[in-house]
Amino acid sequence: MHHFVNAGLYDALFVMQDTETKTLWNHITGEALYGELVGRGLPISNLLQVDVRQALNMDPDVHVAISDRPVLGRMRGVGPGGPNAQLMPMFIETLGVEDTRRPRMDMGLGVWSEQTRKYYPVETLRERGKAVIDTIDGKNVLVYLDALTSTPAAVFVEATEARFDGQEIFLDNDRLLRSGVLVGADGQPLPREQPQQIFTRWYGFALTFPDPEIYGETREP
Amino acid sequence: MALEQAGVPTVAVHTHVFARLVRSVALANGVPTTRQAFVPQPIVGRSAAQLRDSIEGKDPISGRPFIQEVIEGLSAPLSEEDLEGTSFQRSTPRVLEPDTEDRVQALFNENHWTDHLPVILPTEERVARMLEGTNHAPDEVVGKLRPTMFREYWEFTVEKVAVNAVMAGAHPEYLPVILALAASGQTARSSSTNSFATFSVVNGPIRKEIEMGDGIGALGPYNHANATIGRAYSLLSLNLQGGSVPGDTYMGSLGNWYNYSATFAEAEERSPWTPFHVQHGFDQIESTASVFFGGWYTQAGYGPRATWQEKFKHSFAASEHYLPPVIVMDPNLVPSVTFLILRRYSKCDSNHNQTIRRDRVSRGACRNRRQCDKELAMRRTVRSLSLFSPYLSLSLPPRRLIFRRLLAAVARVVLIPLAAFAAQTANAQLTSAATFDIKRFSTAGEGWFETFYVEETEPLQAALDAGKVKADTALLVTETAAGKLALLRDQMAYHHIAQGTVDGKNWMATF
Repeated sequence: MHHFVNAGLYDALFVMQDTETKTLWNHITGEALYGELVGRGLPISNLLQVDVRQALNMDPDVHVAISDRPVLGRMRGVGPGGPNAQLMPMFIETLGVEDTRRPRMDMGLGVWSEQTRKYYPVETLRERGKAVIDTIDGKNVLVYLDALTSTPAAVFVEATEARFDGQEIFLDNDRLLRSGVLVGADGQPLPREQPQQIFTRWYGFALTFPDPEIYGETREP
Repeated sequence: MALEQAGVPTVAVHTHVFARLVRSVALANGVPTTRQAFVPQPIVGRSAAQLRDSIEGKDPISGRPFIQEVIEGLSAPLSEEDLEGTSFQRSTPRVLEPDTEDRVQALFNENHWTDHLPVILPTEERVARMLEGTNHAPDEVVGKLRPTMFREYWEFTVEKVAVNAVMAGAHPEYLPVILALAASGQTARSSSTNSFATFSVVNGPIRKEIEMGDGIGALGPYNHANATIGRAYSLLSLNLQGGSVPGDTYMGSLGNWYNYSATFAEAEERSPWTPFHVQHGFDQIESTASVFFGGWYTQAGYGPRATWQEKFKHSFAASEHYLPPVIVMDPNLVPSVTFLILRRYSKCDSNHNQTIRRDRVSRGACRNRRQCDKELAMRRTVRSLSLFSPYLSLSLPPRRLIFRRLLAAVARVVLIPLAAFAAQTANAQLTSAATFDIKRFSTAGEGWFETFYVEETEPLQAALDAGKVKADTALLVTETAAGKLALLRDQMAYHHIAQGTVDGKNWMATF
């Protein structure tokens, strides 16, 4: 097994390094960036952001790993959170050419696949009722702001319309999203398929996946 | 400065004691005319009425009403000079004009090139002799340093490090250690009102080869290698980062004695712990140097056996619990407190260290040194000396600096990693992904976060029932070979990486 550590910064994102070969790795895509393992990639899957209630709803047998570390103030390297967040100069120095279509510290959901790279600003999701149906690689996808955690997420659905009532998201195919769990008309949980996604700031997504489509914005010709 | 860049008229308000510093910072960031107003120091502990007096009174720097300074700063149009930015050159000669020893010592002092103790003057012969301690070319770039995060980095060469090593009185065989410290990217002369210091610890065989002290008085002035390596690190930080001048490039309120020299070796053979460098993945036969940054203090003695535990706890209570403390202990004391330390703090010294380039250090070189020193001693009678300048010699083309934000430092008593000098040269030959530009990679955040190696899990429901988590505790859920596994989001904000093995299959989560 390779052991991974935080090795530094690139594009103002932390970079991993395996201690065996000293290769540097992108922590979002799993791509080897620099070193003898360049050309290789780590298989990746989604990391769901939920709370304890939601996790137990999804799977009562879910386990938890709790470290002995105290909780550190988040986001070392940025100033105040939210819209006033800022990067410290040592982070800025590692940035590549930024895409200025959105503010650097804008928050959103980045979704990507072989064919698609698309960014859903939290602000836009809020403006559109916190639940929208869009299309990714020809499949309908529900992109929503979770009622409990306020984090955005995306899940493939067969519905064409979605309505958020403040607690649950009702889909027009008689299914709904309750506490992060997709359930059928009989109230039973259904398996859910999700596109690859990450809740991120704009600069991080746009530098990792250059020139992404932005939901709700049309490109100038 | 960031707000101005964004088009928002801004006046920065400081207390008057920072006037020189903030103007210097504004100049270094290319905006010397940025609008600034000043109020009297201090503002902490003042009543509302006293603070109002400051606002309604005069700016102690300009002598004009403070409010007027603010209003004019916000409303007056920018001049052509404001919009132009600035450029400047900074250069010092590689070799100084010959002069007498006394006058050169005075010159070094006046230019803030020393720690105000006498230095060994860096003659051409001494620097050449020092350079025999390494096989790196004199013009090879070692690294870059700056006194604080909102200053620009200064880049420097092996020769400049050697010059400062001579001044500190170091021997050539110490140079690999000094080069490693110089390459760390962490200054030993950081500028902060907190008066931080940096100390370094050497591990591995080189400790013995250069006879470093790890016993009685290891942290004091009782060992030549300890004293001069630490002093060299301090002097090179001073001279190769753009200075450490009080009120300008140094703002430590009290200063710190540890800034003179703070390097020692770990007593590996007598410690109950695994040697520090081995804890971080190096072989015991490798030599490493590790750099620690913070506002540390010495607790001398803990009293009678009946009370030392309580005093020990109070010592730790004085440190920030969420940042790793660094504990340096007398080997004689360690066995009696091991049970406490190992359980609670043994992993708190999380940091990365790197291998020192061993170069050409040998006992043979040491004998040559003594011969050489003898020759140099004879030359000290020469009245006129030709010396290297210890200060960084740069001739930068004029440039217009861009705005950069000035933010308050947030990290305190943190461990700053050492970037290996050897690793820098090795990396140049490594393969890079097509989209990856190694020049933009920074080790600045290295070591801030410690990977969570997961060895045990428990049912989430059981953790909830036991009160270890709450119903609304934020989680990150991943899939492993054994099923879904949750990690606490706030802990992952610390670790950033978690990994483990389930049923022979490896998994990892990043955040």
